[in-house]
Amino acid sequence: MPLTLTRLAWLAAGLLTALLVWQLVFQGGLQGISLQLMAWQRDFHRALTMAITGLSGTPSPATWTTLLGISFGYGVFHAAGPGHGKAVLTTYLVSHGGARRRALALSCAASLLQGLVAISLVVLLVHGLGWLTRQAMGSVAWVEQASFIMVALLGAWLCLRAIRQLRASAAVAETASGKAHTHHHLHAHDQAHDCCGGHLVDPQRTEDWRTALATVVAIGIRPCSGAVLLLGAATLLGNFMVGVAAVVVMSLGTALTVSTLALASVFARGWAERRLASRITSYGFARLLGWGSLTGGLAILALGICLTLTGVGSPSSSTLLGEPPPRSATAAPDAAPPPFGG
Amino acid sequence: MIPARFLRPILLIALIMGALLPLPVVAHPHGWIDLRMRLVLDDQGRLEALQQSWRLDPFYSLVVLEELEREQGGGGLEAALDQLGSEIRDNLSPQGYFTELQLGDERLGLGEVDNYTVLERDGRIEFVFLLPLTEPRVIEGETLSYRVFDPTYYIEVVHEADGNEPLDDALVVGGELVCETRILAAEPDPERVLEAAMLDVDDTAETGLGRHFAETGEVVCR
Repeated sequence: MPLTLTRLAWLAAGLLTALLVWQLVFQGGLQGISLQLMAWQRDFHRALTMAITGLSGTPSPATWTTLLGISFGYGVFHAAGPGHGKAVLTTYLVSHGGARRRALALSCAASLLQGLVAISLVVLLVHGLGWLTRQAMGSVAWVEQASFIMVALLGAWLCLRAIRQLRASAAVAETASGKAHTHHHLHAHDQAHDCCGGHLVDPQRTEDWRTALATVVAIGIRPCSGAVLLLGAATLLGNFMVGVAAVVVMSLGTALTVSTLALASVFARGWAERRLASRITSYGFARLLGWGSLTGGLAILALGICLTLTGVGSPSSSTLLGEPPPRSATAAPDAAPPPFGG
Repeated sequence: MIPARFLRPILLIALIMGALLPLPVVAHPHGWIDLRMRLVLDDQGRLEALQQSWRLDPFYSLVVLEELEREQGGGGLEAALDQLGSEIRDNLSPQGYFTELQLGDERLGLGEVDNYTVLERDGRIEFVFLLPLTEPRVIEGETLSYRVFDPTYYIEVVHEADGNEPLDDALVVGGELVCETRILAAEPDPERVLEAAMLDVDDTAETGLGRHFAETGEVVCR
């Protein structure tokens, strides 16, 4: 079993490498990969639409298998493209570290949350409040904006923590310059469950989990308007559960891609830590980690502010159909049409 | 814990994905339109209009029909579809009906759509309209080419196809001329997609992202 898993991992790596080489040599560069991923994602999207439409006609084990397979593939490729959620997650993990287990938990939780938010949005707005699907899709722009603001807040919080950490390590250096444990337990950082009792670790454990949770929420709260459309369409086809199944499996595919990236971030950090730790003093090392955290926090803060101000989200409606009709006077005011489209 | 033997393959995958991260976020389309194009010739064999039929994808058709059924007044679905048609026309008019037409290297002027209809068939919404040229043009001997695309790429416009093979009736010439037609798949140039993706959604059509992913229809008549 482990042997086959190893083989599978190598196979995946090999395929990706082959793709990379093929693109670099024949298709003109890295951006080509991005386009290739997008083309696959587009094909999956189309296949998914057809599969759900087909399933509502003639449900059978075969059509179900097709649907779930396509959903999974769509999830994998949908996540393989660049996106702000992954940028935040990798920056967070690279600059703040964390156990592999936590990296996995973070990415899975964020991916699943994304699916859950889409499902809740449809249940609440469409089933509960009687909104039109297109109006619910419009609301995605607002949730997205909330996500951007949360990313900025997360960045600010990480900065504050890093500054506190830097101060603390400076204080440690003054009081006990000789006997610093810091070096030791930072090695153990990778296996966070194996706590060595260093004074920097214990008080931080709960706070680490809190920042982790904030990261998950900040990036996971943003649903894809495509998922909302899918769920709305499934509802209209009288097959809401089919849509839910598709979105959940899609989230699993997303989780696979995102956790690979997350693990990589953790390994990259671990490697850098080991290299650095063997070369500089433990005090300098702690300072360096503090500065690393600060840089990461600043990067996330900048990204959050930038996204909040420009609202670069994808348009939530097409110019072809114009805006969905505004909610009636009795509806919540936040249902106003989003500023996109035209 | 992840066993050490997974480290290298995972690291490799991750490195590649990490390399992709700084690329611009290219929005993927959220729906599509199946396009049929028919060149309409006048009695002297000159091109006078493009008759297009746009079939909305099943999901979009569903949610639009939901909207129409909810909102239809006394007129029923027929009246609601008519109303939808005039809305689509009004939305598309400032955007040149998503259509670009060229004869050789010259861009041809297009007029306004007065003749359109919206119908529902097999759960798909179909928008059929006649887009006239500002003046009829002789097209023999030169390559006529067109592209139909949503500049924002929120909706992708593709010719009716079976798999990757465009259907025969996706592009036809109505008239006496002997013509060769072909539909060229989009070949997006990564550099230019990157440029387009950097611009705002509401920038001009010239810079729109959608153009890079648009198919090109070509007609050569003798």
